[in-house]
Amino acid sequence: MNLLRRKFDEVLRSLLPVVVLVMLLSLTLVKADEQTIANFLLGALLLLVGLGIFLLGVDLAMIPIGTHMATEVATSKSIWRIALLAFLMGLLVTVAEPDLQILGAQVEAASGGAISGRMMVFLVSVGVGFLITLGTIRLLSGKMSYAMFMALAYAGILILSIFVSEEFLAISFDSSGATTGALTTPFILALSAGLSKVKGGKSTEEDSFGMVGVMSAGPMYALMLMSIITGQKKIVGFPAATKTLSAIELFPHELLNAVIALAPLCAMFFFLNFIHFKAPKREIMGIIKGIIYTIFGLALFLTGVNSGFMDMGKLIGARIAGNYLWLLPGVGLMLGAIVVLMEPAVIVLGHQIEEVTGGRIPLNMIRLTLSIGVALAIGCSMLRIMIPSVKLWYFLLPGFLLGVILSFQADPVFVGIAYDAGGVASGPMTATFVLAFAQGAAMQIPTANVMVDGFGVIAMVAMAPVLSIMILGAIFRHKEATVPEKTRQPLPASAHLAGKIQDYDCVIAILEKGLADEAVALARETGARGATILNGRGSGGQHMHLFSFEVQKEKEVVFWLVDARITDKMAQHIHDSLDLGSQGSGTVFILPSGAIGLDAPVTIGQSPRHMSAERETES
Amino acid sequence: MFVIVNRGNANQLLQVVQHLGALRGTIFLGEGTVPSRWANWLGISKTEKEVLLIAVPDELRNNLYSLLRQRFQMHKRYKGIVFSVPYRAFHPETGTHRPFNRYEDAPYVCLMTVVEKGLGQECMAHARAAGAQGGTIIHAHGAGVPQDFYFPLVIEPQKEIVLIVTKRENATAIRDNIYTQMQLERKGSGILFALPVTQTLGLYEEWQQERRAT
Repeated sequence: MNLLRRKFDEVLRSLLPVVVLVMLLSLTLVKADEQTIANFLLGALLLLVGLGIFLLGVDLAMIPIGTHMATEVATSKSIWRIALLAFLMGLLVTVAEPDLQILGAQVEAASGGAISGRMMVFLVSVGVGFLITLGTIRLLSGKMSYAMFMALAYAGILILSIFVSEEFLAISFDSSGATTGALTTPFILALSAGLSKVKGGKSTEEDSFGMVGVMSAGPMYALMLMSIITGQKKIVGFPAATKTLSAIELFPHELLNAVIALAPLCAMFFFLNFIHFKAPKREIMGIIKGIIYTIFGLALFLTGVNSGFMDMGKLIGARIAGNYLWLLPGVGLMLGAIVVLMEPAVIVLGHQIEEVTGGRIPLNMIRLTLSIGVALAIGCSMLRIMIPSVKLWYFLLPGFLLGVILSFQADPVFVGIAYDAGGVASGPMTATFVLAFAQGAAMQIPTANVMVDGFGVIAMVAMAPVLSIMILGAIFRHKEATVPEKTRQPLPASAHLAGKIQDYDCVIAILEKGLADEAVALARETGARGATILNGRGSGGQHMHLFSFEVQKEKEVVFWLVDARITDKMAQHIHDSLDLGSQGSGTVFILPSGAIGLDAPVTIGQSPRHMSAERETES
Repeated sequence: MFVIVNRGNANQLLQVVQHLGALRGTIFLGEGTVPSRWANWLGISKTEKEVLLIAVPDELRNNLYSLLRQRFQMHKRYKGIVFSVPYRAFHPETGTHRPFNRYEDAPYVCLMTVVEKGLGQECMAHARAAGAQGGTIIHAHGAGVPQDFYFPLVIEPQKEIVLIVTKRENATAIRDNIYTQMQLERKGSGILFALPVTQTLGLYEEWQQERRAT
């Protein structure tokens, strides 16, 4: 089964429930006309193809670019270079985001020209750049926990929100959703993972997530500060530019948008590649292909969503609200639960969770939690549209507050995932399909305000996953047994053997997560040199069960190739020092190497990149 | 014993296998390689795999192989491969200073090459040129090397392990080709070692033989 087919399989599995539900609704309760249904089905097809290709492109291009950039940032020699690069990246990925451009134009029109749209886009980009810089420095220095960082960020937003009007608050949340678009989020996810990989150490896993959460706070700061400084408070009557175009008209437009959105980042990458890291040609070719896939895939996806899903969403919202009002929260609940899994960035985040944790955190568990969260968010939004006395902040404030409090109780990996999920969940599917559904409903209810309620939905979708995944993380931590601290025994004498090496043994140690570095150090004491470490998950000992999902213990597997004469000594030393005798703590295996003789010499050394880095340090 | 299956199948396999006895398994993620020019040009030559490492005592081995053959149809194509490498678990009482059979007559050989990240596919291409059928790439990282940039970082060089199971006759040629083409004689460019394989299931060569026999 190759990668492309797997991607399509994956998309199809999330798309089918949406199609089935929508078709069911449109044939029974809604009675949609044939044109809308045909458009919807065509849209679904475009979406399937587009998303599949897009995800492939993300794998081929966005992730390698993110990793390269992360290495470039982290291995800088001065804090200014780190700050500058991180800032530029944040600025460049945001400044060309199409959703943000549209929002800027809307704000300009709505404020009667008092706020320039271009100015707003620029300010939001600066805000993102600034927060990405802070986030990067926090990650690399490791001085502050991520939960603390985000708690402070949100506390700042809370304080600022006292001084701004409700309309501006809504725009701020919306701009935050617009910034974490489908194109930039995968890159930021990869950047975060890349930075933590370069940093290494024990917090690799938890540092791999959270940058999207950091990023989404940027626009809120920028816009609220702008509102306070310029004194601009009133925003009246948004122009609702919702002219639906057919798929053929829409595609070139979306294609151009995707090209523009990606251009600054790619330019920066190729520039840095040219002057500095010079990746192998083979890799660059892969990245270029990937960029093309990403752009085409995204354009197809957005075309499908905009041409087929928007009208359908609006129609369902209007008909349900008009004829079966009491069903509205229920329909919202169902749509929310399945639509969120179609968000491109949610799928990318899912992959990253799988890769980083070596499959330890079951992906379906995260998906389910996300579904529940977003379902409740949209259900509650519908209630809010029906009952005008229920205000948006009744949900937002306690929700974020509880999320922040829980973040100190939750498993650290989940904290990052939770804040990221808030950003990724409010992507193009929410911004089009779900928003159209909400607006359709709001139009039928006289007491509802179409624009303000529409924004409310996005804010709710951004908040709900933060809370739901944080709760999951707290339960997870509560259930998980902690690894006891091991005491080390010193090795009496170091062993270096003279003479020609006769045979090599391959020693494999399977250890609890976090012990690999120590094991490598122990092996060095006995005379072994390099080691290769894999992240895996293991069974053996007890399983932990969480809502019928089996959660396996995370393991690190360390490979050494050592002189056969020191094998036993090394195994003994690791075994004793890490106290591997006890139940489920780890095992050392020894495999005989040299199955085909050793007439060619074997080199064990450091990687070329290290050698050059060392040389630089010396000079 | 190593079992390589498509992504998502390893959990179920491990659960079934564990019913045979108290076996421990460790799963890690890997990617397969497909020798298709078309797929390669489009950049979709990657297949996602899971590698399962199980410690199997000798007395259980035959049971396990027949289970994998009957229940999981591992001898068929595209189902994955299974192979065994002799090992001993370190144990403080029995483990020390015992002569070790190096199985220099094992029918198959497992070549493991550790290279810089991104070079795995290239390595595989060279192996294929010398007669290898397929291989699996596993993402790994080297031991951390403390480095002094602005922030004190422990850089973990990203690596790929290329795992190739092949007949003993071909092994030397493949090894030599990888060694010279990948320029492994340069310090730090990678290491290569071979492990004896005593039993296999689902290898392409084996499948060919079986088909010829029937």
